[in-house]
Amino acid sequence: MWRLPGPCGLLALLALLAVESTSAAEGGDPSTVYSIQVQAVPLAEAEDGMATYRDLRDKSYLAYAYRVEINGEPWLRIAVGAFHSHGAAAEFGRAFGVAEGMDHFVAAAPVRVLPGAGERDFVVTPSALWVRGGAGVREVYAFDAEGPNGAGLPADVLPDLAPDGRMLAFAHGCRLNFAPVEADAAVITTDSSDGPCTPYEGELPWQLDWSASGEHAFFLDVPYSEYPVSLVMARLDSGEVRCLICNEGGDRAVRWFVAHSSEDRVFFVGAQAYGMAISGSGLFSTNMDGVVRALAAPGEHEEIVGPLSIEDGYLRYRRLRWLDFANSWDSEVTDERIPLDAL
Amino acid sequence: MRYLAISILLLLLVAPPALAAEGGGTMPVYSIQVRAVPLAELEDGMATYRRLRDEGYLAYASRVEISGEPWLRIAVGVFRSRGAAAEFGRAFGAAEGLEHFVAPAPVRVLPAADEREFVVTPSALWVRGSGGVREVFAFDAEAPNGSGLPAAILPVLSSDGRTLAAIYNCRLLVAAIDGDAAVDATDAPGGPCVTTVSDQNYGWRPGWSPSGDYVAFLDQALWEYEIGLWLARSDGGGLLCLACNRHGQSAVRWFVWHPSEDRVLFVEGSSLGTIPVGGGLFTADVDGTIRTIIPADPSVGWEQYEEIAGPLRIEDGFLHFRRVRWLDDNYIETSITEDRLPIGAL
Repeated sequence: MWRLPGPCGLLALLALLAVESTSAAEGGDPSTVYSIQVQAVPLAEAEDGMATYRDLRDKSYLAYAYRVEINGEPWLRIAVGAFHSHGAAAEFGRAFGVAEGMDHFVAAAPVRVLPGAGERDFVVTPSALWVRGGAGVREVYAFDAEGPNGAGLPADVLPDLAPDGRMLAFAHGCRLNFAPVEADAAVITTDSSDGPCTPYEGELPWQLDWSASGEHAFFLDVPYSEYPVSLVMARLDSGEVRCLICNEGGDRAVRWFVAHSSEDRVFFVGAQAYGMAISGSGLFSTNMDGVVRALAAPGEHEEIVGPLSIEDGYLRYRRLRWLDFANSWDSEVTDERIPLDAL
Repeated sequence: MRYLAISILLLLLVAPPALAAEGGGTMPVYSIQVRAVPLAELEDGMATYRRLRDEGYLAYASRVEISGEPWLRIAVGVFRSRGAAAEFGRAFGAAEGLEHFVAPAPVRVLPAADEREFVVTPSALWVRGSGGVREVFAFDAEAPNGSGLPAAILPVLSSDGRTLAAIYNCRLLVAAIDGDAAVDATDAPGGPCVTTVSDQNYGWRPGWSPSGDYVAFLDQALWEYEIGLWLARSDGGGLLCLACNRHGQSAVRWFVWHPSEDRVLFVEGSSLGTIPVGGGLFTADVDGTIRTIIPADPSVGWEQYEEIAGPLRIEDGFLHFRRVRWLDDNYIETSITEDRLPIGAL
């Protein structure tokens, strides 16, 4: 048990959420990746750099462009390849230099590599999402074909790999997109009204959870703390996207959720959408038709809070108690669990 | 009886520390295969290998059996995924005009210091980093080697990641991450021929001192042979025999470095393998001075006689080992118990 000496409920909520956001943001293999950098130009000369990028991309190199600040000035860097060691990138550079006649050097890459199914990788660069395998590389989604993107990518698109490695979910343009490892292009599953926009600093961490089979994905529609937040389900075989807990236009929000391995229900914590003190108000279950059942209710001056997890046959959650609701906003949090057999 | 003792020894050798001694990753890696020729056309394939190697590519040749016939494969590059190898292949194809495809590589990559790697191929040992690749030892420059490489050379990386020890062609090699070429640490008067392979070989590997300044090794691993314990510096100099057939027909079975780095703890017994599976426990200073910690004295009779067996392991401030006792006067039934001594008392 521990206490949260929060001056207000929102800070306490953000502190609780931070436990989850750290791991959720990892999104795959955290090891450092290296590329060869082939060009750097001041951003005023971006078109020159982007021409190089497009030329290399069109030659089927895994090329990318990204914007950086150097001594306070914006620059554009063009780089090629994604390798797990300095040496492997240098080996590539040896052949690339002979083939293209371009000077280059090995540099750490703002790139994330997520090992997918069938010995293929999803490669998220600041410019695009690629799938690469023994037959070569394939661009399946361009984040912005014309303009260089900032260094916030690839983390900003929240890449999340399905358990079987056959699908990658990512957020871009206020849409949730899915990229099958075999497909030529990513599938845009949601429109801008029910997809997540990139979270702003200090806002709720956006959450996606896969079913055990990878056939369903569950996600929250918006990542804002004081908005009505709905729980949405996507069926990846049919392309159906459906709101399971629909709070749009109301005053309720889904804070945390976790999918049951049986794939026939999702557990979630509901809450008030507005108000400074409310973190989570109760623990619920919904089936795939959106039929809701209450599982645990908070007592007086209590709230049910996440993150939710399923482990060792139990659904685990936390209970928050406000100790001095009127003055200091002190609170304490205890871990609790319910056997899955009882749910 | 002999086979019983051998069986007991092999049973003792099957233990987790043997895995810890692996000394490097065994993750699957991939290359692009650029050529395959029947072994009768060996020279043609080796010419391709030498040309690519001389152009600065990490090329290698390996011999394989395909439908019962010997073939030679030439491959280039080492990457941790098929996709990364294909990326390399895209550039390589444009540069060299050679057709190729991605294939699993009989290669071991050992991540080393300063973001560099030792790469052991069937043809050579390389160091690679952001500055490129560098061949530091060729296993056999003229003939393609079999698939036993790279595992057969028992590559072991020092704890600081700056030096690799390996055994090849009777020699113990040490390769520094910054060096131009591997050094033969056994190339000294009286130096041993180090062998690694037999039907009943020990699961031993070279053992680096904690700082990586010294490497200890056995000179061979054959049952019922005299087996010596040797020491060399990480620069390949200072070869010294710590315990070499001290009593006639003596064999060092297991060893481990003391954390203080000034001595090696080892088990030594008789190489006449009708009864012994281990021996006494000893310590050897790096200058060769030896002390007995636990003796093994057969003259006390089978009821009292016991031997120390490995693997030796230092953990939680203790030296961990095993004691073997016999339960009958025919030395058939054994009792094996775990034991430990505080490292501060050794």
